[in-house]
Amino acid sequence: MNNNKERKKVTVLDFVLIAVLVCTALFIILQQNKSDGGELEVVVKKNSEVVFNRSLSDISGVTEICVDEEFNVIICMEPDGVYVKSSDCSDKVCVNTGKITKSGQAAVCLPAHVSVELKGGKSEVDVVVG
Amino acid sequence: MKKKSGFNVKMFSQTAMLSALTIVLSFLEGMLPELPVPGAKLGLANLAVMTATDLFGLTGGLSTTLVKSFFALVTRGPVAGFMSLCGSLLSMFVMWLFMRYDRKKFGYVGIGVMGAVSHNMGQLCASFAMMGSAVLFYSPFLILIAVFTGAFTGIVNSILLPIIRKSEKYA
Ligand SMILES: [Zn+2]
Repeated sequence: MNNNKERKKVTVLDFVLIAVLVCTALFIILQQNKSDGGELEVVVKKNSEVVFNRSLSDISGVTEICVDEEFNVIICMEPDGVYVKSSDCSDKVCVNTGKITKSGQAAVCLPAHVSVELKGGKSEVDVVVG
Repeated sequence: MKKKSGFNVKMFSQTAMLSALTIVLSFLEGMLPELPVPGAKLGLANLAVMTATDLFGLTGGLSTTLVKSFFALVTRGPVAGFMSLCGSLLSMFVMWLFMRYDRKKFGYVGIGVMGAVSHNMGQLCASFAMMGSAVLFYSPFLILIAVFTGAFTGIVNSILLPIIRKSEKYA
């Protein structure tokens, strides 16, 4: 019935939608970058199972662990943050993420199914997924 | 009756052409540099899925989506194929719903953005299932990327679709 009228290229509602989406994204980014002086915890997962879990303050000097034999994902931990040092994956997204230093931040290697995240700190958002 | 069968042939050939277009676009996208978000793709192929969904509803949308995901499965492996399927199916369904029921309150840009956002959120859910909570860190970047690619998809279709429909009338 309303086929005879062509849809508009862009409407007011489109701009509202875009504004809401951009604001949501910026709000989440702000939350993620809240600096928190609290305890940070390193959680390394392989296939969503925790394979390594330690408080960052318990790490003295530079610690390296190799998580995945197939992709040789090497995670390097320092007292101020964590990063993926190297991985044999094709995309290198994990390595290019760089050092993560705040609660809620993460580096992910999708081909190897490996993730490193920082949890805890003062940020009250601490979702536990069972 | 004759007219109806003619339409079906046209529908079949156009859906096949749009499906081929998703492969071309996926291929072109594969040559672009990787986005700094795991598993994320620009979603250029979504352009043809939107065209097919607008012209032929769920039938067109499903055909192009399956072809697109099959291409991802063959060229980038089972993980990418699964992620592609989750993202594209959700995206196609959301676009179809709005095209059908929004009474044209949204423009092509709005539909494109909604399709792109749901595409990326579908992929995020798939990687969440595989890897756990760490991937949620990327959600704001996925939303921002989707706003740009979705707007682009919408603008291209706002030019393309009226032309296709006009040519249909005089064919
Ligand atoms: Zn990687």
